Amino acid sequence: MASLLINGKSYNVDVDPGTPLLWVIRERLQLTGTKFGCGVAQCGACTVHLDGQPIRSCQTTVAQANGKKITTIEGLSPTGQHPLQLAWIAEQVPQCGYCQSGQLMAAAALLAKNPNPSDQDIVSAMSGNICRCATYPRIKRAIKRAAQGVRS
Amino acid sequence: MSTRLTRRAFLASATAAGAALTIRFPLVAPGDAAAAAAYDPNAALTITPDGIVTVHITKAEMGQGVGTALAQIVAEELEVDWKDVRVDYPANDPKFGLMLTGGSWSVNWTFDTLSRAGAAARLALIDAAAKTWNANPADCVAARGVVRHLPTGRALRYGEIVARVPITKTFSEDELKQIVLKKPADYRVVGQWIPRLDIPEKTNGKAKFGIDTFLPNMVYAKVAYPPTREGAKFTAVDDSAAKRVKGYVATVQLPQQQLVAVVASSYEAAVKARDALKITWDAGPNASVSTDSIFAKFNSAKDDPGVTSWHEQGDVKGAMGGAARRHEATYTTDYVAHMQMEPMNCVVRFADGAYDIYTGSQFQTFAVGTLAATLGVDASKIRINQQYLGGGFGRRLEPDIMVETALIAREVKRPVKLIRSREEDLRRDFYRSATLQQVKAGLDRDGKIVAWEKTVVASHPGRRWGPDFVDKKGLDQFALNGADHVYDIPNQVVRAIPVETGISVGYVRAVAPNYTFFAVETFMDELAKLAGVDPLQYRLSMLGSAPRLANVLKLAADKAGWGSSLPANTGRGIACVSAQEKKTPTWTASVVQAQVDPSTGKVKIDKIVCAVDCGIVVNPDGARSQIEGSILFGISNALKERGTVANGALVQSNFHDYQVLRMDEVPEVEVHLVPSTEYPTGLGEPGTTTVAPALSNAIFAATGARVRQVPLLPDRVLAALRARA
Repeated sequence: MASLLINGKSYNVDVDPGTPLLWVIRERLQLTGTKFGCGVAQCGACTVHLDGQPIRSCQTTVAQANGKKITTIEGLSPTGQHPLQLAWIAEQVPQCGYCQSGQLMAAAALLAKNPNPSDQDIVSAMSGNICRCATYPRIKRAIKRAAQGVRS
Repeated sequence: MSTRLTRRAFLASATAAGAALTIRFPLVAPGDAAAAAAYDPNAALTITPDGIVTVHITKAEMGQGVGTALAQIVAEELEVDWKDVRVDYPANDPKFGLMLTGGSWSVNWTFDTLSRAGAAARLALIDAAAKTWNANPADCVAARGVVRHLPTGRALRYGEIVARVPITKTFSEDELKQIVLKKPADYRVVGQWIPRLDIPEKTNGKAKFGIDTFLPNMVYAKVAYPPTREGAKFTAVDDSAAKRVKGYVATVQLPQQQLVAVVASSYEAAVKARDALKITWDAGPNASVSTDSIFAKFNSAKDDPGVTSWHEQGDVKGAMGGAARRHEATYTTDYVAHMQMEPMNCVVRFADGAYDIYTGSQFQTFAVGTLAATLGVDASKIRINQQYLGGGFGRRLEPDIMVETALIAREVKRPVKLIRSREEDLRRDFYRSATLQQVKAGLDRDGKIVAWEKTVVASHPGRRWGPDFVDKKGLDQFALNGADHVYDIPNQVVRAIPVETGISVGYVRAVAPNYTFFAVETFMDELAKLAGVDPLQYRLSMLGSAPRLANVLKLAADKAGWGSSLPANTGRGIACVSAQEKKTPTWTASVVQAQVDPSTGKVKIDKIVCAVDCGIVVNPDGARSQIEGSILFGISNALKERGTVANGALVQSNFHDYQVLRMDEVPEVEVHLVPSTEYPTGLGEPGTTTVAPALSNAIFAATGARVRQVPLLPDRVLAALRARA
């Protein structure tokens, strides 16, 4: 039995402690905004925050997450009004949309520690997240837009 | 696994093969009963008493924003407020006709029909309102969801008409054709920068993809896939260890379909149990197939004298013989995988003899036919509940995941969810074929091309789909499109040589024009050099019959500063295409500016400028988004993606060894759309096809080294640099 604190809510889940956090979040708890893309921490679609740090939930076990604060896309903002979410809409970022939860969680972690990122900061923070539709130019623009909103 | 075609699928394929691309919207008389609930003037839309118009999108939403664009087309003629427009993505139904999303066809195929569907509904609403007022419909107008009688000022909202007034007017096919549609100058919705309807829920985790489906009492399946892509068979299965895995439910063995799977109570348990299976495989006839053996086969096939031509005009032999100079070159491209972000997955519930399928499909009509044939049921027993697609790129044209899941669900009598791992997804992909193309040309004394001969050696996906997806010569036109370019060359021939390799091929974004235009446009550069003419001017001299292509070519060149000086080892390359198909081209030209590191062969793209004429642009931001994405997909293909084969299967297994473009490699992308009132064509793919040739030409301009293999990897660039020296 693992005890997980996700988006401020506690869940007790009967799984092997070695189970990847991703599968518990998605398939047991049906918080499906977090996506499965590669299973080997190469694509970033499964990115969630663990105590505020962006992590790949496909390579994080339930045991590693035990007792820590987990935030998924569903918990990024209770109203879906996080500056990044608004910027994502303003810049019309998503195409298929599948990777975008992971992109947003990676971007949110970046802005939390660096509210005024340079182009290079953005590229460094975001190059672990693949978007096969290649919405990269718009992701970059949206992060800058959100950063300006956060500062002003 | 069998993908035999049925009669139903044949009907689809006849259309897919390009014979008649009409989508029918049968018009049903709604009668009085319908007035109370909702008005369905045709299969395209429903109006409810609250005034909400729901446009039924029968194209897959996989990132193109197709729902918004198609709804804009309907709303334009319906004269409804955009805020009252919704979309849904209905399950398959014969009333929707062909359900196929691909080929950059969606707007091109539906613009006229959806315009008429919207207009017919508007006219029927006007007619109904006029009748209740005993007025002449000609004295009534509809605007912003309201019908007004001009002489008296009386008005009824669409919702009120639907709720209270019998709507009786229907249209025959002929009457539909005769409706006079708006002129582009009068558009209020088409051509507007309208935010996409699917984007908000794609920023908060609420968008539902196939993988997000859950059904009561659902179990998880994992399939044990064979060691080679094609031709392997299992001869023995020992599931004694699998049975001891906690959560194990069942083993499914179907020798006829060559399917072995384990079902368990959770995804992890299914993986564990599947991995515990001991299966004896007969690897079959392809066990030693490799990249080298495939290209050796291509190379010997290319000289086959018995080959028929796919496209031919003039007297190539005579003109070639009389040419002042001749040139030839051979181009190759490697296997490319789809690598859509959402691995293939499906949920199926089998109950009462019917299959409820939850997934994202690009070709429901084909899937229904294939499933009905494989499962031995009537097509009416197959219901595909369409979800958002986490990337399509042609991968979700294939029904393979639905067939596997349905077979398993039938055995276990519980809803089944099947999710492939990325490794399985890549190994079971239907790749863009590796290709070998040889081009020969004869020039006259002035450098003008008088003869052109092209040989295209590739695997043709349509052959696997069935006889209805190839022409009478057994050729799949979607494996050849683009080889029939639009340059004015009097004598030309395209020889098509389909070759089976044991590696399954399919349709990957931009399909054949990726490789056919690579050869055409790179060779054109080589001929320009031979003729001593600037590559832009050389192309323009042969585009007299394609003025819109000449226009975008000049536009791209102007915007890119064609001809201005650049630093050492930096060059510009140009390419133009009539993709996706010669009959319905989106005129597209790109200029790539790239730097080459002569010591490593590494190529860095600084900038790409793309000019596009697609006729009427329905949603300008959506259009830009598609062009940007298609260009970057092309860069990923051109610079990085190389699928190799060993032991009858793809060598690569995940994103670490099959690398795709990431943010750190994205150059500046500049898009120019030509304003136009011509009938619209598609945007999802043409940009992709310009990248590899423009980049190869840029490398040549920068270094004088000609790279004729895609992807343009550093070792290939280095080899070309050495060959130059």
